[in-house]
Amino acid sequence: MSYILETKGVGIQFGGLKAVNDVNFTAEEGQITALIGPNGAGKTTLFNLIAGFYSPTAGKVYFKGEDITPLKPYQRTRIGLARTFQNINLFQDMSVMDNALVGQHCRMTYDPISAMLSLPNKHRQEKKSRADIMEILDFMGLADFADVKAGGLSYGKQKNLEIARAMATKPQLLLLDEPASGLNTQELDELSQRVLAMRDMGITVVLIEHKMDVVMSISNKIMVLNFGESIAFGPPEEISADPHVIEAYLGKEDEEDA
Amino acid sequence: MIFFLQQLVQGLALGSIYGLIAIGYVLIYNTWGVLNFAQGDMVMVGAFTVLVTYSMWGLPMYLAIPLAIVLCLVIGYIIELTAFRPLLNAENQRRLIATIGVGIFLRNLAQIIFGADAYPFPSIFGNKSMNIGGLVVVPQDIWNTVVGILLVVLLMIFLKRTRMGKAMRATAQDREAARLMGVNVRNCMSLTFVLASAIGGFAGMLLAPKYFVVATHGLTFGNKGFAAALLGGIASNAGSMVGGIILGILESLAAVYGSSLWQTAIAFLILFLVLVVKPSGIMGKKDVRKV
Amino acid sequence: MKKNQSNLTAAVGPNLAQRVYSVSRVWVILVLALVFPFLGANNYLLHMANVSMMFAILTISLNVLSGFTGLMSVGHIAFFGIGAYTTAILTTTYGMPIWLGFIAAGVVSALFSLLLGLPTMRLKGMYFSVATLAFGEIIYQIIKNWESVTKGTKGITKIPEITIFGFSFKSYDRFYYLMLLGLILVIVLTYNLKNSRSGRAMLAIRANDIAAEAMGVNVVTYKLVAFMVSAFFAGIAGAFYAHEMRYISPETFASVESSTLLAMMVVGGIGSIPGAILGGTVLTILPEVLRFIGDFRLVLYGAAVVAIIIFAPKGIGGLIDYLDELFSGKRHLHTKQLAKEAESNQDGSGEEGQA
Repeated sequence: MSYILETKGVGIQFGGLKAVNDVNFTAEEGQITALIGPNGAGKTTLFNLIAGFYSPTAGKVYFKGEDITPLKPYQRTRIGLARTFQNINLFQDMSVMDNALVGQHCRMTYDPISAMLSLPNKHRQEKKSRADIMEILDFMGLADFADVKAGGLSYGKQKNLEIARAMATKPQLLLLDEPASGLNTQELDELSQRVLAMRDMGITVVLIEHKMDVVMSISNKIMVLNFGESIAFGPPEEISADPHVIEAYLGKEDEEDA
Repeated sequence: MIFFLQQLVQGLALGSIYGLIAIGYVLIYNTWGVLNFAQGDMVMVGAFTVLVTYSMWGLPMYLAIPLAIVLCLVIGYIIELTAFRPLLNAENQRRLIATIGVGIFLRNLAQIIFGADAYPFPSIFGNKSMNIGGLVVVPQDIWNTVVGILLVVLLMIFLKRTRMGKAMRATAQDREAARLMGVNVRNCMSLTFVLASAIGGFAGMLLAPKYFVVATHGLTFGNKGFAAALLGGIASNAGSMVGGIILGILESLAAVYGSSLWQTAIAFLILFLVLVVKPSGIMGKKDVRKV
Repeated sequence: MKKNQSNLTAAVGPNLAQRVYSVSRVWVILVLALVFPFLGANNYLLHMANVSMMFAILTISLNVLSGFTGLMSVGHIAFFGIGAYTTAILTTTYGMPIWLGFIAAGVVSALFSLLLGLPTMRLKGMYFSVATLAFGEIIYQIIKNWESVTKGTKGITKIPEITIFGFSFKSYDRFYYLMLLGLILVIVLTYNLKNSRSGRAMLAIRANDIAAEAMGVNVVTYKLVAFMVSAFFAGIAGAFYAHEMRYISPETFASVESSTLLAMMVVGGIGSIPGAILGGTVLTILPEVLRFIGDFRLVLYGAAVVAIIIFAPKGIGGLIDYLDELFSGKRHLHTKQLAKEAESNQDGSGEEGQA
């Protein structure tokens, strides 16, 4: 079986604390894989390890079969690994279009001198990028807001722009960190539809999510983290029946929902 | 050897004043989160207030100095109210430039009131040099060192032991948590600011007998002060005294063994190198990157 | 969706007056700048205009580094000094042609920016600012004390005037046009940079360097690019200064002058190019205009900087943007769009998911 993403025994320590310990995470190409677990279980930390914002103190990260552990975050984005942030991390004073154009940064190649002299290669690449981005904005329901400043958008739209910006990097693998948090029922529905559509476009999706109904309905496979360790990894039906998981996570979640 | 010791003594005297100036930067930085570029000008203000109370009003020294310190407290409070408090939640760039604006204001106001001349100021502790085992020392130098270090020790005791001091430290560490614990954060921040202003002013009073009183003091000594603050580690009160003394000694050694022309350049080169090699300073802890 | 969008634009699009404004605004300003020497401007006024334009270039250059990229430099005047001294030394001591002096001024200044930039790239916020301050102070001390090369506090005299193919630019009005050409070039290059892949990378770094890196931006590279472009322009401004004044001395480049540049940038509005031009001009001319109130003008200056920071965080540039959007009809469009969004949020219909 070929995995587009694979971590082998990956772990990181902060001081004496093992935030993530010996995790073997895999994502199959063209599938949706979810990462769940209680708060502080190490989900976002694992994302940071995969995206390159932290260097693991143990283990390795493989992308398309290659060891990417030494690569910096921007290098990983270049080879097709994009992410969104749990807390909205947009460029607030820039327009929606410009935010997404930053995502296209590594898909354009012209240098600063061509930029200043406005050479033809700049015009060619800009034109193509803007057209590509209009499609993405359209897909995320943001086409009418291209010229609006990101900070002026509603919360739901800002979350959509987070995703649009990551999609603009033309990723093969997209890491979504709690895309559903703070969305209303209808927005949740749209999100599920869009994530499924992304998968159909050929983007492999890995998401961290607390909303169990979303996770259960769209994921092909789910990993449960607790205290930095993987306690279960399998298809949704298997996970929801796993006694460890119910004890560590689902039970608690049910209480909260009640 | 005696010659080397001689430089050491002089460096110590100058360095402890640098340390005092530095601690003003550190106090304000840790509580307000901004490097106060006007802190150097508070040193100048301090020198001028004592010039007014002593030389112009003719008060005896034991009244002139406390009154001058009170004036510094008041001026510090006005600065805090007008240029710091309104920008508490503004982005750092704006706050930084506001402090530069305050500096320009104070410097030029002093120049209007007192002109561009350097005023002489009598020595507070005597300036007749003494010979101690071959070392030639001036009482003012010894007292500057003693008073400087003593003041920092007192400040640290105040911050560590007293209720008010603990509240101020809590405020500096985490404003929100301090508020939840019932600390009057607003007052603590004001108090830290005026205290820092007064310490800066007092450093100016110690400098006055040896370096005259002149409106551009703020630039000269302000830059040295925060070089010392960063040398020692901006997060550390004790570090700023250490940084000040190191800078003072390095400067006097550089003046003798190198050339006095390059004294300032060497001081800043060292600051630059320390920043590059260990940004958190000699006594500082390493920052952890947050994502 | 496409149709929907064009309807929206048509419904609230600019009217004729707004269109005329949009097309003509730049040309009107340009024509005014071109005829200025014929409007009875004497040598003093022309000289002030020339100095204003130098400071406009300097402020724009500082904006590339501190406004776009967010690297607050408190030692930027050093690059102005490096540029001025490079061309002054090359054209006097070594008798090189002036055009070479100009290029060298920009290039040497950019090289020095690497000297400062490479070791300080990973420094954050205040630590970076202090490093630039130390750098500015070191450069100033070198200019002042390295007498064999820089002539020390005496300064360099008899810097040659600019001549191109035997045509002299010594007189203030001729220099004015040369200066204007230089300023326009810098403006155009900076605009092009801002609206490009590289410029957006810089703006993204300022807004949120972690997100920028996640989007594939090599943060270190683009900080260095910003540094070099910024220092190059500042060096060119320095070359203009040296050949206009024809005498330079260290005091012009004292590190405290860096705060004047910061003030110009802030008064103009951080990150705004028109703001930088106006900020540079206003703060060059203001002390001259206020000369009648004597030294008090500098006190006012300090107070004004604080007041602008508090009461007008976006400076003159913010005002220009506001008026510009108002007159060209863009503001109207924005309001409409935001209103539309508010509406769609209220009834909960949102945008259709295009699944």
